[in-house]
Amino acid sequence: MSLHLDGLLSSEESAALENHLARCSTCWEHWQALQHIDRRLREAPLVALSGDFVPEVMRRISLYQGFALPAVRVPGWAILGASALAVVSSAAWVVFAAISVYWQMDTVWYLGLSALKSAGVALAVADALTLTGRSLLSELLAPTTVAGLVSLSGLSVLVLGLWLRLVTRYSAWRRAA
Amino acid sequence: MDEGALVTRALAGDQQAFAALVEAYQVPVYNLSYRMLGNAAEAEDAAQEAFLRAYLQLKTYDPAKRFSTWLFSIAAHYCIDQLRRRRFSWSTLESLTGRDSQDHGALDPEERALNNEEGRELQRALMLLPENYRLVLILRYWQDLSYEEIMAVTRISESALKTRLHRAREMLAEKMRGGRATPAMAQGLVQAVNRKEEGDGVLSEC
Repeated sequence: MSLHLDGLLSSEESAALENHLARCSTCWEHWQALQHIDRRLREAPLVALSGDFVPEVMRRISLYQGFALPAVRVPGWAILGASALAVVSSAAWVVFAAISVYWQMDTVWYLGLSALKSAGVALAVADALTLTGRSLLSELLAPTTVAGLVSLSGLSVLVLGLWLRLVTRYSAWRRAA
Repeated sequence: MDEGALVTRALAGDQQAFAALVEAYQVPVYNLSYRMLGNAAEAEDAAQEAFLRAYLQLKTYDPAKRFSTWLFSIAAHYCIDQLRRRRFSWSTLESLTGRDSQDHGALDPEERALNNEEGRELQRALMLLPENYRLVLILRYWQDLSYEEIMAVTRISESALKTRLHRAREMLAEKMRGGRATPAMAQGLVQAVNRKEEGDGVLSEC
């Protein structure tokens, strides 16, 4: 019946439906109800709009554009490079942190000492060398060393970039709304 | 100037061209929003939001397709989104205050001008339909879209659209009769007749 209302039945199908409707009072009543609804819907008017709709839309667009960050085209290699730096520095920081926590300094010192003694180096010399190595390693793993600074900087840049993007987008939407 | 040229110019950053598109489509988009949301102020806001979103997503528009269906799709999805949010906030508010959420307060002047008793009755019945059913009726009657165009806006199959349109008309008829189904609907005969329409096309008996 719905297809008949939309004129989408073939002439044979329409004839078959109308033939059925002529004989079936139950379907005929239903068909009348659907026709009534169809007529009411077709007669329903379009709602008029206030005159300042277009300027208001354009104002919202301008507001959005005024607040949004200017579109800067960043080359693909720069995005890839920055991402790689952030990932590598973060990974390096995790590795160094893991070493410092799980692989104690003393273990490194003993391993180094044993290796030097096996190689025939005098105990006093081996001791001095491994102690120097140990202090260098401790220095390297400290948060103020270059490795620590690079990795923390990478993370900071990443977090700051995401935060800035989020805040500006949200503020722009709020202002435009 | 034709629509394609306006879109091309808008894409190049010409705001006047986009304003011309807004001018051309403001009434259909507003009416879609109004019939979906049932409130003039919310509808105006939704229509403006739909145009803002269209402007921001203009690069994703495929010029091979009709601009109107792309725009209606944005507006329809936004309205459905708003209705879902409204449902959530109403249910939350109701649970706190016990207030009847269907009471929207007094009609504004525009709604009063539009709505004589008949118009109000139709809009009230329309608002009682599930939003997906309401949408296909709005696209069919107020936007005058073909089946193909409605399928493009709603992204449903042809058979789903036929079923949805038919059910929407039936439900609306039922709501307009104060919740009384016609005898054919009550007996499930309509479904039988429609199966025959879509099947072998033979109508023998109910």
